[in-house]
Amino acid sequence: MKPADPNNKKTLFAVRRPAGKNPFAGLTPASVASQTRAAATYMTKDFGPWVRKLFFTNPMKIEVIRFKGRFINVTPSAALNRTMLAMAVLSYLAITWMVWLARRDLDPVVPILIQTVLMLLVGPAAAHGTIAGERDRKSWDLLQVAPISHAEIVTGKFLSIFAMMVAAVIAFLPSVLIAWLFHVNGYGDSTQYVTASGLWRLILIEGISLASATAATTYTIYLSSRMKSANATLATAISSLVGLYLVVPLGLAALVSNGSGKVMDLLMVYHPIWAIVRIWESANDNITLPFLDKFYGLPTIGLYALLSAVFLGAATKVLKKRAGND
Amino acid sequence: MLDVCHLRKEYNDLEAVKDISFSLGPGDIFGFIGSNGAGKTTTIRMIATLLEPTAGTAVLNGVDVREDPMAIRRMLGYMPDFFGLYDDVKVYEYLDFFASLYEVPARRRPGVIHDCLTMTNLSGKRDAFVQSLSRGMQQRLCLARCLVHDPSLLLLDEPASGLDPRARAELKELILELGKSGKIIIVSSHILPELADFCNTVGIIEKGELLAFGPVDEVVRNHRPARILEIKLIDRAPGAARLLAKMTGVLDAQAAGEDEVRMDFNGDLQAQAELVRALVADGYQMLGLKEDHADLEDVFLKLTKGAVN
Repeated sequence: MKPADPNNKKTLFAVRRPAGKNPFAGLTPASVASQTRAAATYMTKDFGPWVRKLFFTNPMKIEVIRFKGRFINVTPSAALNRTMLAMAVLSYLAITWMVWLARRDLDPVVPILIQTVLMLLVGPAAAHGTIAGERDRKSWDLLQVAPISHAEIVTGKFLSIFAMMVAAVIAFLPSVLIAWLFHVNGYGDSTQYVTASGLWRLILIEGISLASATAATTYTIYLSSRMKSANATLATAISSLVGLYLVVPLGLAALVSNGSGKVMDLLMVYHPIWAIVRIWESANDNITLPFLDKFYGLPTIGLYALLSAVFLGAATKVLKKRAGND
Repeated sequence: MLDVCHLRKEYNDLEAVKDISFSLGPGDIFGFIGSNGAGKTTTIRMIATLLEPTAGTAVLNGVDVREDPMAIRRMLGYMPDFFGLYDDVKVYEYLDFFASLYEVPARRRPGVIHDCLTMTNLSGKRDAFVQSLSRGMQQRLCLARCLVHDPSLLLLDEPASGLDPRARAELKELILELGKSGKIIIVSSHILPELADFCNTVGIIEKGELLAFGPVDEVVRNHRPARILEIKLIDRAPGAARLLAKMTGVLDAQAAGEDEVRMDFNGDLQAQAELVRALVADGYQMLGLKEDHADLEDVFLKLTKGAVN
């Protein structure tokens, strides 16, 4: 039997056996070994460059250049954008200053809650035009005729926004750390949170904050892949997030007002603010972390990570499906 | 080498492109002529791998658009009729982005971008923001973008639309230059005299059907409408028109005033000489005979009915 060719993808994974009723006819240990070796060679040969192109040398990082061009370059036409950036920087400095002034009273969860709400809004705002915006400005065709896969386009655009969100988390870190280190509780204890378990809680809620914003962003990228207009994408994304994070919790609270807290905890497992507050409260209420850790910490982050992967995959699939028909 | 083989595109019950076939070789500049909605853009988009053909295919340098679109994309540069540029990036960054999309190695990019900017006369705008460029410059930037990976096929859909006369002349020069470098170029345009100037091959399409294809001269020769002859006389033009109308090869003869006859004529040179002889024999005082040469526009108007406009 001819050995499987590791360079030929089409024949490599095809099951080659003589026609007949026995599905295992022709499969010998030698043929299986040859097939496996060829598959392994193929995977190791192609997987590395693929990962490198998808995540590290992805040309879609132009989104970051565009962000810099929009907000940082000094051109007369960018006056409004520069003003917005200046206001954002001033607001950031003011928040950090206020946190410093209120450091003894301020719970460290407060800056993280502000950061989460902001990122839940800014992520979709940055992502709404990723694909629909290309269609709006009629530059989508130029990307489509380039030798770049839909997965690379979607991943590259996502990574650009994700990098900005990580930068936002880092920017908020000084405020969080000030509140964490200097907060004094009602008993005058300034070391209540400065423990290993306090640090772990902090890492968990930062993770939930970033993961939830990432999920909101990838959801918006998915919408952007489906919709023709960037504005419609933004409206849909913001309204569905408001519905999910504001209207649904109010409805649930009304429905299970007489139920136990655990029912609410179960129903609100998707809600980042709820999860963050519950994890942080556990430090005050002496609730053992393992329960919340299993329920709200890593599982919540995992849920958001899974959702993000699903949305990115779905966006890629939508683009693949639409390719050749637009 | 580009071989378009029985390309067809259907949208529900509309057949946008009907069984189009043609072949182009290196250095061919192909002018694709047709009214709005005739099927030019659909054909170009199918070759560009943006639309999936209902049937048929196109093969570029041995690679089938349906079987390996990624390989085709590496070999073609496409300039759509309407396109958008990214705001907030500089000309150099824009070209660098597309060079990286087309996998031009990073160390070669500065040189390639420099060459493209020089070729499209945009060197002075290297650090300008793309949104600050004029329409003509943006067209040239889009063309520069098509060239960063040195494609063997260029698809230019209405590249001259919205350009001023100077920019058009420059674009024409550039396309001629690219043709000389051995690229296959497909240009669609409404401006027929312009296409006739720099294309060596043309195709006329209407309602998705390729009505004529070949070198410009050959298409004009094979499809030209009846020749138009103008005979200048001293007087008695109406009488001369009546006489000429009865002669071989004359399809129609009309007097234009007292001193000129215009006629549609499809006879050969012998029949043309016979017209002159008959007029002189009947005592008409002839001052001259002039032929209006048919051009691409006449052929286009003859072949198409403008039904899709």
